[in-house]
Amino acid sequence: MKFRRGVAVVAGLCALAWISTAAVGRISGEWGGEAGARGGGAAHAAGLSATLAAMMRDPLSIFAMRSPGERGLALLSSKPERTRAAAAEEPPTERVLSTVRERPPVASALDEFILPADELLGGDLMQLAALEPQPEVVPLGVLPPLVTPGGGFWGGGGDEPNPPPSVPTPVPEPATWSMMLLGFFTIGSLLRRRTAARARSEARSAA
Amino acid sequence: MASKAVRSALALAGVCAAVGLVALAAVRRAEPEAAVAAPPAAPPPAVSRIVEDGSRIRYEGAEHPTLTLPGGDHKIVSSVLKISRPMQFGDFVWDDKGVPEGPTWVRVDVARQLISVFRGEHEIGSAVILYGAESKPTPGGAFTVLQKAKDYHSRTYDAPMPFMLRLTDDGVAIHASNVREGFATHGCIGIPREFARRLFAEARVGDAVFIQK
Repeated sequence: MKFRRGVAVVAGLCALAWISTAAVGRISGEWGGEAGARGGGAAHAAGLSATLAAMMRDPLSIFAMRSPGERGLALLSSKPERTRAAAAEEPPTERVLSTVRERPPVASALDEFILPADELLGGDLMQLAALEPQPEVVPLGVLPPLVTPGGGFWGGGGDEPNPPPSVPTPVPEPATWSMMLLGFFTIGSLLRRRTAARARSEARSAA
Repeated sequence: MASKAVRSALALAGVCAAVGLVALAAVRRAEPEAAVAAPPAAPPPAVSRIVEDGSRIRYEGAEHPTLTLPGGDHKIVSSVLKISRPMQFGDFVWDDKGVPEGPTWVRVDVARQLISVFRGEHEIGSAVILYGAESKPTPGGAFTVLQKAKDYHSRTYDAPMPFMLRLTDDGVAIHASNVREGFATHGCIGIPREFARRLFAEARVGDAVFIQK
């Protein structure tokens, strides 16, 4: 009983302390604010308008008020500049089959084939060879910087506007074939396992 | 029984103390704000009357403020547009109602991301701009409009730049672009299209453009 009274006293004291704190807070918050608004209100407003007037006197501070602020550091994007080389010397439009011709293995094979034949037969095959799609001979004579199968021309700039497209070979290579077959086998085995499992469970439930 | 009562009393006291402390902290926090709200006394104005009428802030009387511009130039300002809130990207204001004829000049404020178009001593237009990225900054200084082109297409960037006012020989210009936050140019000043159309109509070759960095 005694302890219960003690609890009540402590609780009462705490409640009193809390209420008084809250009251003080309200007094200093609201009443102080009201007093400021009533007593020092005129001076306050005058000060405000004075600063406003001082700001408005300077066009720069008016500009600052309408400014969206300074720019942040993170920029989303901006359009890249065309490389100077690409802008200056456009590739000639006649080179329609350029990508086909630029395939290095074909080029080396042609070279190996043509050079001995050229030595053997002379002028006739030279003309023929000029008509053949030769990667090394034709463009090198006309436009030295254009044909380097390694991509020296396109790699020159920092940003490539359109890198040369890779030409898919018409016949799939053995690795591709084997991958596809492996995929089919995997799918097939999975299906078989699933039907087998279902049949088993059905049989079990029937039994 | 007794110890339980003591314990509960202590717990209650602790809770009350915590609540009291929080309330006290809130009061303490509220006080400095009230102190900050009182502004420091401004120095008394030495200039003329300021009149706000409609869309403009006018400086009336003997003395008008001057803008110090790059290149050592000073321009007197008699009125500026009244735009009380910060403009958004793509916003612009154009108001040349009642503004007498006069030489057109342009002030670009890179730090504040603003452009102001003046006719004589009066501001007639203002907009938010895009300017050059860190890697390709917009040059500061005093320039003149070298060339005007209504439908310009940049060869360097393969991009349309309508209502282009060229400022330098190496391609810095004021032109219309999609003014969005977070974007930058390669040194040009990008302004909203409609604003660019009006500025293009207003400006003539030889007009002064000041770019304040």
